[in-house]
Amino acid sequence: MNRRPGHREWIGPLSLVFCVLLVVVPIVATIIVSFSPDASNMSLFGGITTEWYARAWLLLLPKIGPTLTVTSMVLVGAMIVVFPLCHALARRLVPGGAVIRQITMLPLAVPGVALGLALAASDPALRSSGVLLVVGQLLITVPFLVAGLVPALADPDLVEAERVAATLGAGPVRRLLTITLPSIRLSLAAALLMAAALSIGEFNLSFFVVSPAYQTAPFALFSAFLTQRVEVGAAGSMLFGVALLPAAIVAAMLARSSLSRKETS
Amino acid sequence: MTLSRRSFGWGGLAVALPGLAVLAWFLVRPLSGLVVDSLHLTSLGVRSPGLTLVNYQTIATDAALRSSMVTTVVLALVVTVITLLICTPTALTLARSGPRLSAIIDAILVFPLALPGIVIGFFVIVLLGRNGLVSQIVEATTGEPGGRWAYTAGGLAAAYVYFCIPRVVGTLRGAAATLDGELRNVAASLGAYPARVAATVTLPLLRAPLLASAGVCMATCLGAYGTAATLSEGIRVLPLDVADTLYNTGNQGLAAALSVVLALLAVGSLAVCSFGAWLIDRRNRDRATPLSLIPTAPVMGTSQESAAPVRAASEADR
Repeated sequence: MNRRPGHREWIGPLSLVFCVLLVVVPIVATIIVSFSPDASNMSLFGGITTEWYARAWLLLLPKIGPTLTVTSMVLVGAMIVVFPLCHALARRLVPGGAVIRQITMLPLAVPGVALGLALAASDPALRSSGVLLVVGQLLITVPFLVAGLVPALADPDLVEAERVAATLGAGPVRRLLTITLPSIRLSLAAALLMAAALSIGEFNLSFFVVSPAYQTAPFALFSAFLTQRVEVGAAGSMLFGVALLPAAIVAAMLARSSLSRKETS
Repeated sequence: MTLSRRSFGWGGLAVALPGLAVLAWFLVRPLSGLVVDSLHLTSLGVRSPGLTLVNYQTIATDAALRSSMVTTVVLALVVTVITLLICTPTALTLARSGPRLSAIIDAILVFPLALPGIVIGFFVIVLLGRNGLVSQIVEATTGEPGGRWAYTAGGLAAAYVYFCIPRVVGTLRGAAATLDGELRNVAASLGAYPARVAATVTLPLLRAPLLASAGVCMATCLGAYGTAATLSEGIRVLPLDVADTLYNTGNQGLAAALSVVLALLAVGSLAVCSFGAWLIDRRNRDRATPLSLIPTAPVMGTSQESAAPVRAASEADR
């Protein structure tokens, strides 16, 4: 149906293959290195060992608790603080909404280094308790939450349904629980997953606001990269990637299912 | 909009106040503080009173800082061009291929979005480091050491390209899906070579999304601290200087000034590109009708949604 008369195109397919190889080859290479007994003397396929995984696991283990704590705090913050703001922005309840939307995009435009330095300088007292780390990571997720939630919340059908419920006497909490949340659940889940993935992997900003007690997993990885054998770093990266994989798969599935829902409706 | 305000009352605004407070206190205030800090001299952690531009003068005159600033900007520009060259044909091909294949490739290409910058920097070490796989292959074939580019500008550029790919493919993919395939077919049936079709039909239609992704690419490369820190043995870039100035010399004022310069570069390139994309968009909208040859042709609406949120974010930004 999309047959082109005349010339065959080859640049497109070629660049597609190149692009996929570019993305896949480093991952495959890291997998090979992580299992090889000694990656440095060409005995790449000389045997398989899981020793590096055991070592990397020991390095990452103490950071799992802090990572999960910080990430869940970020998600709680996203629901309690950012979600109502998105709702107000979508319904244009806030005066100067356009300016505020631009401000919410700032963490995407301003490098994490600058924002991290600014936070560390402005609220040094909050650093040791880990509050600053949570706030910083929450700021990083704000542009993604706004981009994912505001269009979903501005859906005219949803606005109408909420209005009808209000005229029928449903209070704000009841409207939120029975109408708003169920109808945006896919966008909400996708946005929260993205926020979780960003928070788990965040390093640029976190580096400047972290407190020793709340070092997250990327800090253990970073020090492993600088001080350990390359095989240990590779195994650590793979463990990290595997931990992120479920989030990535669920996010992709959610995106597809919301697509097909839209097509059928 | 008065309608919705009447039916929801001021409650909706009230619950948004914590969010606004967080943005004001933890985003606007610290960034303003950063600018103020950059205008003060700091010695031994004590900020001296009186505004001064000395920190900015230091950045302009200090040879090391100036060279790392040039490196940072040139690197970001080169990486942006390379990424667009690789990703544009990829996104176009992806938009034309079948749903099943494109779903798999989409998933593969978007996955690096979730990887932190330090892991992507480490990928370069695995391939191009001292005992990197490519380095070993080069050594085995030529008999002498080679291919150890991990700690050079090339290695850093490779890492930057790697983490720009998902962002750019995401943006262009959505835009390419909305292109009218008939235009291309008509041009081809009139005898235009693929290169000519691309230059005269496809690329002009993609100018706005191309500019938008260039802006995202520039901003991402300018601020990539984690990747640069992993590969920090050789090359110097601005984000590394910020950390060094802060932790090694304790010069808060200079570090703040460097951050301000970095932030201005990133926000500036994003703003310029977004503004250009917006201008093109507006002009295209004026003459949108003559461009679409067959108004009833179905627009392939595939995966507008599945494209990464960065795309949505960058669009919201512009």
